[in-house]
This record gives sequence, C-alpha cells and structure tokens, in this order.
Amino acid sequence: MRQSRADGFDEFVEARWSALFHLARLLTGGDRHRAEDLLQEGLLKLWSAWPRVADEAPEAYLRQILVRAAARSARRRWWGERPTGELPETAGSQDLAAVVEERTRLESALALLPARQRAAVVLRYYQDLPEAQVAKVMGCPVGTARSLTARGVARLREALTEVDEPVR
Amino acid sequence: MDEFEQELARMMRDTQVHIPFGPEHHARLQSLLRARRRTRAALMAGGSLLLIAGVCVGLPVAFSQGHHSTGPASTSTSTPTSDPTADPTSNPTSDPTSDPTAGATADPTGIRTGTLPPGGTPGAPAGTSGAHGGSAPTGTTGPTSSTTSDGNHVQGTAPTYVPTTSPSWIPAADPTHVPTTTPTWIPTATPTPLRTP
Repeated sequence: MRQSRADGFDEFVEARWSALFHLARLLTGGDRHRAEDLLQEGLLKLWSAWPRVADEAPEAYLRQILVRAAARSARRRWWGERPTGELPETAGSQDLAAVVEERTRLESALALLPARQRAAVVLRYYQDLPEAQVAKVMGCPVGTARSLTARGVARLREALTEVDEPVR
Repeated sequence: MDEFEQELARMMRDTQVHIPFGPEHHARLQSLLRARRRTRAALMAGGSLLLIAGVCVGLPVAFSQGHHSTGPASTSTSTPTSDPTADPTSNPTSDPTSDPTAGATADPTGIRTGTLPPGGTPGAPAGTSGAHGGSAPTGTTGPTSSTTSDGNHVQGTAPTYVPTTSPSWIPAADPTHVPTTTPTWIPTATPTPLRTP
C-alpha cells in the first residue's frame, strides 16, 4: 500500500512541482525559501491524505493547504535567514532578464499586501478561480473574498503604477 | 476585468519559470516524510504505553472501589446516637437485678432470636410465653433489660433480636445490608419502645 501511495504521489509531485512552486512563491510574496518550505509542508500534508484525495482533486486540496498555511506563516514575526551555497538565479539571456525583472516587480508589489489579500488576488488572477471558489479555498464568505480581492488589486495597481512611473 | 487586471493575470502566469522536481527536492521531501513517519510511530508508541499504563492503574482502582462499595454502606447505617453501654444507668429500669424474669427469658448469650412485631413495639415475645407456661409475659409490663455475656448492657424492651430480613429502619440507600451479628446499638435505633411504657 505504501508503495502504491508513493508511486502516485511522486508522479503527481514531479508533474506539478513547477506550477505549485510558482503558486507558493506568489503566495509568499516572492520569498523563495519560504515558498519551498510552504510547498514541502503542503506536500507532507497531502501525502498523509493521499489515499483519500488521490482520485479526486489533489491539486485543489494542496492549493487550500498552501493558502491557509501561507496566511498562517505570515503571522510569524521572524523568518530566520538560512545560509546557502547557491547564488541567486541570474539571467542567462535578455528575455530571461526581462522575465526576472517583471517577476521581481510583481513579487515586490505582492509582498506589500497582507497575506489574505495576497492569497485572494493570487487565487483569482493566477489560478483563475471564480469568487465562490476563492471564498471556499480561503474559508470565508464570498463577500469577504470579493472585498479582499478588490482591496488587493487596488493596492497592487497603486504599487505597480508607482514603479512604472519614470523618475523626474 | 479591466486592463490592469488582465495585465496582472498575464504577469502572474508569464513569470512562472519551469523548475524541475530535482533530486535535492526529492531528497528533502523524503527526509521530511521519514521524519513524519518516525514522529507518528513515536506518538503511536507513546499512546499505546499511556493506554497500557492507564489500564494497569485504573483496573485495580476500579476493582478496589467495587470491593469497598458495600463497606461504607454498612457504616452509614450504624450511626447510633448513643451507645447503650456508655451510660447503663440512664434508665433506672434497666438494672439487670430489677427484673429477675428478664434473665429467665433471655438465652445465655443474651441474644434472642425472633421477629419484631409490626410497628416496632415489642409486645409479647414468643419466647417468654413458653418459658412461663402460658402465663402473661412479664416483659410486656415494662421495659426490661438483660446483660449480655460480654457484659454489655442491653435494654430489654428492644430485645437483641437478629433481624432476618431487611428492617424498615434501615435506610433505603442500602437495601442489601443484613447485619449478621448482634449490633449493640439496636436499642437506640428503635426509640419508640422507650417512649411507650
């Protein structure tokens, strides 16, 4: 049983790792290490529930875990620095540099948002979920999800517009 | 969805770079899974130990409580207001020498076997009528007394009978209590005979 569980689980993780990592990164406001921790924690919980959710919607289950864990972890005061031997990823080409720059802008703006607003915006615009589904994932009423999304978008609009404006 | 929202959605999707699930991710996930399994196994073992310890402690306690459940009930019924042996001279008629027939009607051990008449008034004990050849029992004229073999003074109007059934004066909380020995506190437990001359 454990072998069959591991087989299906490993396949799922390998297939969806990249998208899930990007989701975790957006949810944490661009913090790569926190995103990886968040994803590993979510995968651990998914592994425990894998026999129940494997045939249904494991990604939706994991998305809910990630959103709630991100909101929870954002309440912690301090995230310790971790020494690493790897340098931050660098741009290898002009296109990649543009992508990195845009991502940095986006993540900097997302980092300004409170965790719940950030989660609502990410679920609504990256995961393309309807408002009812956003509310369900976040465990709040639809009106609250709509309000969080609207306030998050307004703040992002302000932040990204300020960045775009040329310095006079 | 306005232009900014569309741009925001595009930015979120386009900035995704493909990051393969590498061996370092796999190794870290596996180590976390192993740690979780170990934690769960330790929790299960600890829970089992706690369960066994609880059973080992709880069963003897439960048995001992079940064993003592009849004990306190007997003590609850034996709450005499006064010990008859404490003040044998409180009733002047309780002098053993005042009524010589009392000694004749009582058995050598001072214990009479019989049933108390309904109402609790000791009228004519059956044992006394036979002893005097069908004459009127002397015990009915007034309270008599007797002395037990161990020297305890027992008032005679309430003879030291041994109830074979549960008498009405035993509290209902202990219906199963049947005294097997002659309690010395019986006379005070039946105060009505003392008031009736």
